[in-house]
Amino acid sequence: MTLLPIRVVARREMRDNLTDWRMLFPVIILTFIVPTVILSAALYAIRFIGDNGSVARLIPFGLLLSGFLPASFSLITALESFVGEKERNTLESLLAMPMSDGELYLGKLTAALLTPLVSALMAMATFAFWYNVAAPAAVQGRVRIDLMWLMVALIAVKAIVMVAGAVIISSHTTTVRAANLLASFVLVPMSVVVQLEALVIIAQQPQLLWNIFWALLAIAVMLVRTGMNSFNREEILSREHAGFSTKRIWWTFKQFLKEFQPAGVAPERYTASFSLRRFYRRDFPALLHEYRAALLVVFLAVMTGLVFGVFAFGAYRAAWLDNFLQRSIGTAPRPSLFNAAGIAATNLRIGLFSNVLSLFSFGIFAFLVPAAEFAQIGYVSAWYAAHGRSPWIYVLAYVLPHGLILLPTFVLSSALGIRIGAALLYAPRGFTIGQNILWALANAAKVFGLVSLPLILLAALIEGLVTPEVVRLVYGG
Amino acid sequence: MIQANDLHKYFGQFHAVRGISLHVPAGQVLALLGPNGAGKTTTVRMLSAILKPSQGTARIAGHDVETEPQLVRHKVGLLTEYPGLYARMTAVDYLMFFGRLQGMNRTDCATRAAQLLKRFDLWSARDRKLDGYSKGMKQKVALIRAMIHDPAVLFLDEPTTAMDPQSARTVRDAISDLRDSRRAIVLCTHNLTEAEVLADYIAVVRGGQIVAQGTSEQLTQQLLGDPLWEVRTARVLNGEVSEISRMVEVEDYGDTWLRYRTSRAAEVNPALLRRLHHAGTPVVSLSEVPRSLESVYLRIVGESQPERMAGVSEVEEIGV
Repeated sequence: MTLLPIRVVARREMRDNLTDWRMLFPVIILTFIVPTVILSAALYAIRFIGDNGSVARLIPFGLLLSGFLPASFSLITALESFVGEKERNTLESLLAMPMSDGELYLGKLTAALLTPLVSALMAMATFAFWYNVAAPAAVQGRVRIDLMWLMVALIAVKAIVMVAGAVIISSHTTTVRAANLLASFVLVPMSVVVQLEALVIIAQQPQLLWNIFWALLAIAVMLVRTGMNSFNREEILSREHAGFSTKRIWWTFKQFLKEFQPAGVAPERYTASFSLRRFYRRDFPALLHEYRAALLVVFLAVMTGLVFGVFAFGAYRAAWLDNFLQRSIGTAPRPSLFNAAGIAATNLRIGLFSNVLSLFSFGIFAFLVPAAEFAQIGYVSAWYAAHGRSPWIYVLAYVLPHGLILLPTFVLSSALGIRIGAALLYAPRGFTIGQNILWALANAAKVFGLVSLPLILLAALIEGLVTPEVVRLVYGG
Repeated sequence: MIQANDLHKYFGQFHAVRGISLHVPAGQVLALLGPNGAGKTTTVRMLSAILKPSQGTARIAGHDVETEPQLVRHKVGLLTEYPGLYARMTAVDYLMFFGRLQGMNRTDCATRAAQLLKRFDLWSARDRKLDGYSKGMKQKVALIRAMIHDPAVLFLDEPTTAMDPQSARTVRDAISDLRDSRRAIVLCTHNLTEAEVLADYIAVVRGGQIVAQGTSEQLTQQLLGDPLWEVRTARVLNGEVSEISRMVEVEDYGDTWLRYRTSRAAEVNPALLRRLHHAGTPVVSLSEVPRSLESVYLRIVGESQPERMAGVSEVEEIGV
C-alpha cells in the first residue's frame, strides 16, 4: 500500500467538499455559531437558576453537543463517498485506476473523516474560547478541565465511528437515497450514546466516560477494518445487476431456511430440503461452530455485564433498592402456571425484540441483553456479599434452577442477534450484504423456533414452578 | 497486446458473458458491436481489470487481469460509457488528478495534459469548471483522461457520442493516430459507420457471446452473400434477361435495369457487357450496389436466438 494514491484521492475529495457552498455554509454555522449559542444558553441557565454547582455540570455536555452537531452533519459527505460517485457516473473511471481497493477506500475514508473531525474540533475550540472569555470565574472553577478534554476525545472517536459506518453504508448501497435512509443506523445509536453520556456527565462519572471512549474506539477500529475488508470493486459494479425483487428476497430467505451452509455459499447451491432430524444432528452444531465469533462477543458481554454489575453496586447505591433487596431475601412468589406464562411471554419478547432491533443497531441491542442480565446478577451478588450473605447461595437458589437453561438460551439468541447486526457491516466472499442479512435472519428464525422457543418455555416453567420451591428450600421460607 | 480466452462472467444466476475470446495485436482496432445489454461493457470491464472473470483468462500488454490487476490498469486507458466528470473541477485539475493516480509526476502530467487539450481544441477552456462544458467537450475531456498516461491499450466506449461532426472527426483522427503508434484499441460503439471506418476487425456481441466476427468485407460477404451488381441500359431489355440469367444469378430486373449476384466480377462483368453490346443494347452504367454494415448488423442482431449464427465464421480469435 502506497501513500500517494490515498493522498491524491483524499485531497480531491476535500477540495470538492470545501468548494461546495451548500455543504460549507451549514458547517460554518454549526462550527462557529451554534457552539456560541449553546454556551450562551448554558450560562443563561446558570444565571437563571442561580446555582453554579449543579447547572455548571451542563458545560461539558454543551461542549460534547457542540462537537457532535457538525460531526453528524458532515456525515452527508461520508454517505456520498462511493454511492454519490456511482450515481454521478464518476466511479468507474476511478475504479479503473492502478490503485488497490485498500488505497481507494482509505483515500475516501480520510477525506470523509477530515471534514467532520476538523469541524467538530473547531466547534469545540469555539465553545472553549467563548467559555474562557464569557463564563464567570465561579462557573469556571466548578468545571473539571480533564472532563473537557475527555469530551474532545469522545467526539473525535465518535466522528470516526460515524464516518467509518457511513462509508461502509456508502460502499454497499446502490443509491444516495438508500444510503441516507440507512444513515439512521449510524445516527440513532450515536444519539443514544450521546444521551447516555449526558447522564454520565451529570452524574460526574468520568471513569464511565472513559469506558465509553474505549468501547467506541474498539468499534471504530472494527468498522475501519470491516470497511476495508469488505470493500472491493467487483461488489460495487456487480450490484448494478442486482434488482430489487420481493419474490427473489423471499425465495432466498426460504433457501437459507432449508438447510445450514456457511455464510458465502450462494443460495442456488442449497439443494437439500428441510429436515428436522438433520437440523438437530448436523445443521445446529455446524451453526454453533460458524457463530463462534459472535458467541465470543456474547461471552465478553456477559463478563462485562458481571463486572459492571459489581462495579455499579460500589458506585451507585439507592435506599429504595437496598430496601427492596432486603425485603426480598428468601422470598419467592407462589409456584404458579400463570407466573410461568408471564415469565415466558417476557423472555420471548426480550429475545425477539433484541434480535429485531439488532438489525437497526449493528447488534448493539443483542449485546445489551446478556450484559444487562449478568449486570443484574453481578449487582445483586455484590449486594449479598456486602450484607454478609453468600452470593453463591443467592445464585444457586434464585438463578441456577432456570438459569441453567435460560442463560445459555439468551447467550445463543444474542449471538444470533449480533450476527444479524454484523451482517450490515460485512459480507463474506460470495454474499452481497442483502444475502448476508437474509442468511443471518433465516438462521435466527430457525434457531429461535426450533431451539430458543422450547428452551425459553421450559425455563419459564422451571422459573414459575420450581425456582420458588428451591428458594424456600434454601432459605427456609 | 489484448488476449482473452473463453471469458465468462456471472452475476449471481445471470450469465452476462459466455465464452468470449479476443486477440487484438498492437496497431489494430477491434470494434465490438452489439445491442444494449449484450455484454460489451462487462467484457471491457473484465479486460480493464475492474471485474474479475468468473471463468477464462485474459492478458493485457503481457499482464494477467486476475493476478496483476494494478499493472493491467496502468497499461489501460478506459473511456467509460458515460463521461462522468467531477463537475466542480477544471479540465486541467481533472486531468492532473487522473495523471497523478496513474503514477505520473506533476511536470509530465501537466505537459501531457496541455498537449492533449490543445489537440482536442479545449485549451482555451482549460480553466473553466467542467460543469459548464457542453456534452461534446465533456466527452473529449473523458477521452483525454483515458489517454493521459499514454497507455498501450485503449478501451473506448462510444468515443464520439454527443460530438459535433468536426469534433467527431478530430476524435476519429486521434484514434487513427493511436493505431499508427501501435496501440491496441477496442472500440465499443453503436455508430456503424465509425466502426467501418476505424476498425480493422469487427465482432458482433449478442447475449454475452460473439455471434459474428471478421473484417467489414468478410462480414458483409458472409451475411449478405455475393456482391450485388446493377446494370442500367439506354433502351428496354427484351430477350437479354433470359440470356443473362444463363450467365449469372439474376436477383431482380425492370424495363431498363437488372441486378445480379456474382463473386467473379472480373470475369462475369466484361462478358456481360460484351453480350449486351452484341445485342445492340447501349449500357448506361454498371456498378456494385452498396451494402452497409448496418444491414449486416441488423441481420445479426435481428435473429431471435442468441446462439452463433449459421454460416458465420466461428473463428475463436479475432485479429490479424
